[in-house]
Amino acid sequence: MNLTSSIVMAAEILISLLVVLQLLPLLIWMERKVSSYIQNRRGPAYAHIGPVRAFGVVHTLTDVFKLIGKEDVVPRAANRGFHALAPCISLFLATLTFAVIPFADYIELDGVRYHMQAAELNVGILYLLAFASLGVYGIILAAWSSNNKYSMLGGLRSSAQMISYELAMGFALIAVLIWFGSIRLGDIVQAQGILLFNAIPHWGIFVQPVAFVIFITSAFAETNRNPFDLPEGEAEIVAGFHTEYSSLKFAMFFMAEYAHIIVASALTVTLFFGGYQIPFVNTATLVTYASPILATILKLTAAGATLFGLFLAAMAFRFPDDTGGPNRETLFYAVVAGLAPGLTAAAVLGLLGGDVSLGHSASTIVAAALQFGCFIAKTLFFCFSFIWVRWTLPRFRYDQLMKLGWKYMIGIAIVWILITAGAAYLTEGKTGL
Amino acid sequence: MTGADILFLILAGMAIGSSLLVVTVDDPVQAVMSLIVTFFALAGIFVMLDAHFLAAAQIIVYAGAILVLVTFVIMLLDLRAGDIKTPTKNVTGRFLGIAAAVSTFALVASKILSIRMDGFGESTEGLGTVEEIARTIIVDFTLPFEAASVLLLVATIGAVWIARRDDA
Repeated sequence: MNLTSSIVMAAEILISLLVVLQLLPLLIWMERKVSSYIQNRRGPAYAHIGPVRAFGVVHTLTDVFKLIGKEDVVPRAANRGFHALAPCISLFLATLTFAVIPFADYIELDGVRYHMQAAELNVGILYLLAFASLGVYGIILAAWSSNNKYSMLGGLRSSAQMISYELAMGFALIAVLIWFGSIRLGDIVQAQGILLFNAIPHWGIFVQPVAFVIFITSAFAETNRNPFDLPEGEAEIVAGFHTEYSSLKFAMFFMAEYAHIIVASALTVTLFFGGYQIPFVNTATLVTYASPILATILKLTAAGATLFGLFLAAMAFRFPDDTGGPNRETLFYAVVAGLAPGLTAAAVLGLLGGDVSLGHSASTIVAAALQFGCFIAKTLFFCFSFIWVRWTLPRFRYDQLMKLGWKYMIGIAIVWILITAGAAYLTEGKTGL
Repeated sequence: MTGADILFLILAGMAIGSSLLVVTVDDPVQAVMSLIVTFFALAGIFVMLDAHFLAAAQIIVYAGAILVLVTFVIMLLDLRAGDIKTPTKNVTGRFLGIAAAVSTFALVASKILSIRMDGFGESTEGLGTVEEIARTIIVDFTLPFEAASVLLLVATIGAVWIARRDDA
C-alpha cells in the first residue's frame, strides 16, 4: 500500500464521518426553522456572535454549550454502567453506518482508480442491516437501566416498532437488490447512471416505486420519527426511553436521532434516487468536460457572488442599524456570502489566465466533487422531508402501527418481490437494462 | 508478528474473555451484553478469514435478533443479580458436571488438534463472498436448503400452536 492510496483512504473515511457529524448541527437548525415556518413563526433568531445571527444557526452552537453546562442527573436506582453505555451505543452505530454509502464515483491518481466509498464491502447492504438491527440495544438498554416505568414502556414500544419495520424494510430492499442484480451499494448506484428508454434516469424510484414507498415508510419507523414517534409519545409516556437522560447523555441520543435521519436519507438517495449520479450526465461525460464546467462555475461565481455581495452591501447602507451606521450584520453577509467567494473565484480565474485546462487526475477530482455536491443536495432534500413530515402528520395509534407494519406493508412487499422477480426474469438481457 | 496476528490475538482474547464473563457474572443483563461482545469478536475473526457473509449473518442473526429476544425476556422478567440460583451443592451433581465438561472439552480439543494445520493454502478468490454462498445454497444444494426452510416453517407453526390460548 503506497502513500497515495493511504491518503485517499484516510480522506474517504474522514469524509464519510464528517458528512454525518457536520450535517447534524445543520439538521437541528433545519428542524427548528422548518417547524417554525410550518407553524407561522420565525423560529430561533436571537442568539448571536457579535452582530451576526446567521438566521438562527448560532442557536445550535448555544445549544451545545447549554447541554454541556447542564447537570448530568442519573437516577439513584439506575444501573449506572448501562445508563452511560446506552447513548454511546446509539450514537456509535448511527455514525458507523455511513461507511458503506458511496458519495462519488471515482478519482484517478497516478493511473489508479479509487472508488469514493469509505468501505467497499462484499456484503454491502448486509453491513447496513447488521448495524441497523443493533440500534435496538441502545434503546432497550437505556430504557431498562433507567429503572423507570415510562422509560421501560417507551423502550418496549420502540424495540417492537423497530423489529417489526425491519422486516418490511428488508423485503423492500430484496426487490431493489433483485432488480439491480447486486448487493453492493456501489454497483447499485452505477446501475442507476444509465437512461431508461433514452428518456428517464434508471433510478430506483422509477423502476421500484412500491419498494420506495415501503422503504421510506419503514425508514421513518426505524428512526422513531413522526408519524411513528410512539416511543416518545409525550402525552402518554413522557419522553420514552430517554426520560431519565440529561446533559450530554441526552445530547448523544438527540444526535443519534439526527444521525439516523441523515443515514436513512443517504440510503434512500443511494437506492432510489441515483446516489451521486447527476441526472442525464454520467461520470465519463463529467470527466471529459470537467475543464469547461469548472471554468463556467468559476465565471458564474465570480460574477454572481460579487454582484450579490455588492447588492447586500448596498442594502446594509440603505437600511442602517440603530446607531445610524451601516447594518453590520448585512455587511458581514455581504463579505462572507458575496464578495469573498466572488473575488476568490475571480482571482483563481485570473491566475489561470481566464481559462481552465485540467489534467486527467484533476478532472476526475472535479467530477467527483460535483457528484459529491449532488449527493449531498439530494440527501439534504430527504432530511428536509423527514422534518416536513414530522410537523405535518399526526401520530399513529399503537395498534394502527402494528397493523400497518405486519398486515399491510409486509404483504405488499412480498407481492412486489414476486412481481420484481418475474419482471427481472423477463427483461434479463433485453432492452439494455 | 504481523498486524493480522496481533489483530487475531486481540479478537481471540476478547472472545474468550467475554465468553468467560457470560458464565461468571451475576447480573443476567451483563451476561447477555458479554455474549454480544463474544459474537462481535467472532464476527471479526470471520472477517479475517475472508468469510464476510458469515460475519454479517452472525451480527444480523445472533446479535441483532436472537440476543434481542433474550434481552427482552430477561428485562421483562426483571431478573437482577442474585435472582439466578447458585449452582447445585450436590457433590455427585458437581462431579458429574465437571466430568461432562472435561470430557466434552477433551473430545473437541482432540478433534481440533488432529486437523493438519499446514494443509490450507490462501483462500481462493471469491470464497466466502455473497455470490459464492448464494450459488452453493440456491444452485448446488437447492433441495437440502428448501428442506431446512420447511423444517423452520414447521418449527414456527409449532411454536405458535404451543403458545396459543387454551380458550381460543
